Amino acid sequence: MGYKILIVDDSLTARTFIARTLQMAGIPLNQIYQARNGREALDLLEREWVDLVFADINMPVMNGTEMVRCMRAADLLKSIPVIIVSTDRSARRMAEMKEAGVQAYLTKPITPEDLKTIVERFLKSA
Amino acid sequence: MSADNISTLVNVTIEVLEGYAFMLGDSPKTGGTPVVLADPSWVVTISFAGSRAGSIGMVVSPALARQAAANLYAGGPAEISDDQAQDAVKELLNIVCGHYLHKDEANEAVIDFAAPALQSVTREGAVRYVNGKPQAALVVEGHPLLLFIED
Repeated sequence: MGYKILIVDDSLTARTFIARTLQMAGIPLNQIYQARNGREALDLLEREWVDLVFADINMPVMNGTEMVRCMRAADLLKSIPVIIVSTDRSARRMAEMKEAGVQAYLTKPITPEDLKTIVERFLKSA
Repeated sequence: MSADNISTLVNVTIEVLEGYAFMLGDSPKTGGTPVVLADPSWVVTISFAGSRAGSIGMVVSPALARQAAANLYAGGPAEISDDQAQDAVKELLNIVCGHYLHKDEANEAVIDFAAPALQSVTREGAVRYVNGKPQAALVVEGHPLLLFIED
């Protein structure tokens, strides 16, 4: 048993770092999926259910904002919590993402404590 | 203005290297051995637009990039490919840029970042590239790192 988590970022380093940090935080994991952009993430979500999505904003092909809007418009995906992990610290961007439907916004670099707090907050009942 | 900016960039880079890549960086000591860029060197840049526009960059040795990637991937430098090392320094610069732009700006500022770009150049090419730009050198775990600003 454990959580299924999807990490969406165009940087392999960022995806690896988040995956490693989730493991370091002692979060029970069943599977970590990775996607390089919003399009790849939506394609994966057509085949696999996940408990939580971590996503960057600035990505080629489909950015994080568009991906979240697509998820919120899809009956099967709208309940999956999305946490943004971005370098962008502007209050306006955070508000824009909240309006798009994200549950939380973390700025890079993230710590194991940040991730543990977030995962516990959104996945307690999963 | 540029002197303030480069000083902010230096401080932010040291913080990010330490907090994210677990690497210690410092400015070279006055009167100490001059910082010599690697040959070849990787020039990494990221541009931004919006409330503030311009770009920042760093010149790194492939060995430093490989070490940073090894720390981030939790492996040994010998196991790191060029692609992983290049992706790691691009991601580091991306994070540095976010911290740098919001260090002095109010959080109301909205700035769009472009994807970081990397090119491999000779030592002379790297020197030519940064010539005339505000710049500052760091020594990171014994490796040279040159920061510069293009705005």
